[in-house]
This record gives sequence, C-alpha cells and structure tokens, in this order.
Amino acid sequence: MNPYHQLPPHHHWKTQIEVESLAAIDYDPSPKWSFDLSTARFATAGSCFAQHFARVLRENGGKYVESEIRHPLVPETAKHGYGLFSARYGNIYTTRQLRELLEQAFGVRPTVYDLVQRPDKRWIDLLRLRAIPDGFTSREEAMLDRDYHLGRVRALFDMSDVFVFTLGLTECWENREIDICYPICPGVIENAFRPEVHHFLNLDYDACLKDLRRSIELIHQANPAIRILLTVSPVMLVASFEPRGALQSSVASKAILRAVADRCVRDFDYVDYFPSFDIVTGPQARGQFYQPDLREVTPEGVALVMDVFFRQRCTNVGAARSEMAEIQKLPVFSVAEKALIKAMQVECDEILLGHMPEA
Amino acid sequence: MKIGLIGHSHVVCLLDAMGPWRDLMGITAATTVARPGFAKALDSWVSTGPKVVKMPARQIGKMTVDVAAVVVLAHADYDLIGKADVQGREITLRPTPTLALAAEAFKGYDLIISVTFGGEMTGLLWLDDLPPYDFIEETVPVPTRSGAQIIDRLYVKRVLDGKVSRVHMALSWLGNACRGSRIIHIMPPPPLENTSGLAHLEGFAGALREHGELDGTLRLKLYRAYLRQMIAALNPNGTAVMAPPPGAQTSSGYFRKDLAIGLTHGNVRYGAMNWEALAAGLGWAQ
Repeated sequence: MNPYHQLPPHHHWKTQIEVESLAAIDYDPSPKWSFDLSTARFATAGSCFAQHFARVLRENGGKYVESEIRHPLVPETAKHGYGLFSARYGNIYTTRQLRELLEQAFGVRPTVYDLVQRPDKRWIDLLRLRAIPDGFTSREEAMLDRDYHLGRVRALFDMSDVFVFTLGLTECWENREIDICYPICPGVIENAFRPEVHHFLNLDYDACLKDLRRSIELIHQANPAIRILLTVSPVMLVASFEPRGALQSSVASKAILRAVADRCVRDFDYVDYFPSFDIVTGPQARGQFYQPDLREVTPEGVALVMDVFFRQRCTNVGAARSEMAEIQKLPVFSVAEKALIKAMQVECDEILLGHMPEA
Repeated sequence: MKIGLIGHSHVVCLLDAMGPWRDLMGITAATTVARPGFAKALDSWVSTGPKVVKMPARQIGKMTVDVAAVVVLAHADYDLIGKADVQGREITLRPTPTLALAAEAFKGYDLIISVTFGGEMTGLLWLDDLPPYDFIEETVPVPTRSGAQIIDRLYVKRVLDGKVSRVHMALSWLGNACRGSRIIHIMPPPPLENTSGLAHLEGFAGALREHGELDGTLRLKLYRAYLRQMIAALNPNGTAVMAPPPGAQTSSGYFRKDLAIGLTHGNVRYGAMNWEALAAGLGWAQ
C-alpha cells in the first residue's frame, strides 16, 4: 500500500501545480483558520512586503487596524511614518527587532532611546530611522514620541483580531552597548555609525526561533484571542554583510525564516503561515513576479498573493479585483513544456512520492 | 497725533473705551443686528458696511489723539488680503476693499493700531475635538499631559503660522501702503480659565457641549505660542506686538473673567486697559 495514494490532490506536486492557470493552484490548501473579511480586524508589521498586504487589504474593504493615526495637527505632507503599518514602527525586518519592540512596549525591558542629532539639528530615532524621516525638534520630543509609540503598540494588540507578521531578514546590526538591534545599519542613512558599539549580526535558526517564540508569547499574553499569521517576504536582500554573495545570503536567510515560521505553526495553535513567499518564489512562478531587478515583487505578484489570501483565507470578500484578470490567463505550462517535462522525468524518490495511480 | 485703528471684533472694546462710536458709524437700533450668543456690545459690530469713523479728539495719557477707525465687519471679508499674485519669486498682495479703505484713510497718520483677527483661534483654543495631544513649549517648562500624543513643535508652529500669516500679510501690505506710519498690533485676550458662569459662548455653545473644553494648560500654551509667533513674524517688519495688558490675567495666565463679555472678547474696561498699556508703552502715560 502506498500511503500517498490516500492523500488529497494538493499533496502531490503534479496535481497541485499542473493546473490550467497560476490562479487555479491551491496554494493554501490546509489553513488552520479563515477570516470573515467584513469583521476581522487586521494589524500588520514586518518588512516592506507587509506594506503591500496592508494596502491591498484596505483596498478590498478589509478592516485594517491603525493604532497610530496621523494627528490632525500633523500635516499630511509630514514624513512622520503614518499609514505604512498599523503603528509607526516602520519596517521590522528581523525577529530580533520584533521581540525587542514588543519587550519595550509591554514593559518587559526599559524603553531604549537611541537618538542622534542630524546636521540640520533634527533628532532622529535610530530604531525608527526610516519610519520618521522628519525627525524631531528636540531630544525630549523624540523621547516622548517614543513613549507614546510604545503605548500605541501595546494598544494595537487589544484592537486587533489578527496580527500579520512578515519575516524579512536575518541580517541586522546591533548596538552591543545598549543591547538593541536596528532596522537598518546606522551608517547607511544617518552617518551615525560607531564601530566600537555597532556590530553586524546574522541571526541563525535558533536565534530567530527564540525571538519569534518570545514575540508570539508576548502577543498572546496581551490578547489571548488574537491569531498570528506569519508570512515570509519574497523580497531578496539588497546587500549582505556576510562574506558571500547577496544571492547566497538571500536564500539562506529566507530558508531560515521559512523554517522558523514552520516550527512556530507546529508549536502554537493560534499561529499559522500564509504562503506569499511560496507563491512568488516557487518554481511555478518562473520568476515572473519579480521586477527587472529580480529582487522586488511586481504588482501582479502582490495581486496574486492577495487574491489567494482573499479566496482561500477569507469569507465575505467583496468584488473581484481587476488586477487578477491578467493573472488568471497566465498558463503554468505550455503544451510543448508539458511534453518536455514528461521526457525529462527520471525515477527518483520524489517522483515516486508524486506518482499518482492511473485513473 | 493721528491714529488709525483697524480691527475685527476685538477692536470693539477699544472703541467702546474711547466713547460713543456707533452713532458716528450710523448704527441705530433699527440697523442693529442681534447676534445670539454674543454680548450686546458685539451686536452693532455687524450692523454697518465698511466705513471710516473719525472719533473726536481726546486725551490718552498726556497725548491728544485723533482716531480714525475702520471696523472690519463680520459680514465683510474676514481676510484682509484677497489674493496674492505670485510671479516667479515676486509675490504681490491684493487687499480686500476694507483694507484698501483703511490704507486710504490712514495715509500720513503717525500710528496705526491693528486689533485684527483672533477669531480664527477660538476653535483651537477651546474645543477638545482632536485626539489628546500636547506639545513642548520652548520657553515655559510645563509638564505634558499624560497619555497625550506629543506633537512636534514644528507642526504646532505650522498650524499657528497659518493663523499668524493672516495678520502678517495684512499688516505688511498696510505698512507698505502707509509708509512712515508706525504699526502696533494688539493681541486678542488670552483664554479664560473655563466657561463656567459665562453668559455668552459666542457661537460655540453647541461645539463646547459636543466636544468639551480643551485642557486649560494646553490652551494657555497655545496662546503663548501664538503670541511668540506673532512677535517673530511682525517684529522684523518693524511692527510691534502688544501682549495683554498687565493685570488682565490671573496669576495662572488666564484672562480675568471680570474683563470678559463672552468666550473670547474683552469688555470696555479691558479696552481701557489696552489704551493705558499703549500709552505707557509709547511714553504717553501721565
């Protein structure tokens, strides 16, 4: 008896992937739960890709939680970090950054004020360097804003039913003097690099897992009803500080994050994984969802990810999205390609696992 | 000494302190428009078209003054600059008919006193209609409100700049049109500590009921910031800014209720205090 014969079609590469279009693939066949789009309140954090998620969710009528909304006294044109994520934390690329943010927000560790003054006299929060490029008039204002921000991060988890976190990177820079890691190397934007305290750190599987587990526990303690949806960003590293290529570092980094996500899904019943990374980077996509720089994801890739999310994870979804019209026409394999695949098939364990009984 | 006086509603208390002016304006009981929610003194403010009223010569301190006044009516344009033409880096300000009238009337005058604007600050200074906020005052170390979002003072300044610029543009144009005249701008009164016992809420009764009163400490901070920014904007053009007269404020800095005729306006006694302060500042005091 071949136990694989009893499995549903999506367990087999051939029947999961060899369908008439990319949109027809059952990308997310075994979700732990789904959401009522008309009522579920979503919060997001993570790398750049999480911004797309937030934007499309809003465009489709999803309830997107923002615990920090631009105050009417702050001009719309101000670069003060509103509207990108559910709170003004900016990009949270690493599990370490998430853990340290949550520990500060929930009072597990004292608030860290890592502030520098730019030549234009504005004060910058190095922990939200790109989130608030306008900076602050004084150190005191920057500190008070950080206090307020952390309070709003705390409030975010009371206001949300789902926390979507997109894991982005394993490489980061830390300040060993105050034991904090940055979203971006302090030397990249603000020339605030101090080699005596700023050190490169590449989080390995164990470190990422420990950070993420701690973050999940903190969130769950704050709101036991909240569900956490993990995704991995398909955006590749812009640069690696490891003595190897950016490609190798990207693959290693994404592999670690994907594995960490998998572990957490197994360990926590209120944590699940949504396969945006798999949709964009899987061989079925043939790299067509990458921009010409082969690093960033195209709007079509984002549209497909979100279409799958709405279709397979949500109920009460509104009108169909026009961006999907073109996607749905894209074939997975042409006739010639199908013939070639058959010709190239060799006997191996994986093929055996994928072998389906003849009808 | 010839003095030109131009103002919105806050000028009324200065005019009342000088003597009868409504008759000279042609305001009669028949033309008076009642303004529900406002003190009677402000009824007649809206009862006539833009015109120049020349008051009889009178003594202010040791100075004999002739005052010509232009009252900017509520139903006339609130702004005094109608539009600004921008050509390259050149900006040409165009006055409203009321401001043009004032400039014509005040030609050759020694002193122009502005009591213009101020009403646009009422909402900001009174209504608790925004998410809780506070800001750091550069000069006065006042603790910020717990739980409030601290708005960077750069943004508070921008909000107040929008209000200050109305005065700034009008007086810049007037200064150019009346070269040789000294200009002094008198600030509207600071905020009262609260509305309790106030008979006249000046159109804000409903909004105050709906939103409540903004924290008093914050209202004072906003007023002080408004004053500082007014000084910073007007002084470089040679225009002096007169802060509330000594004795018009409580020890905490609020406007004294016994000097108010409503939510934001001063009474005739407050008008007299302004003239006294002006005389003292100009060296006319007896």
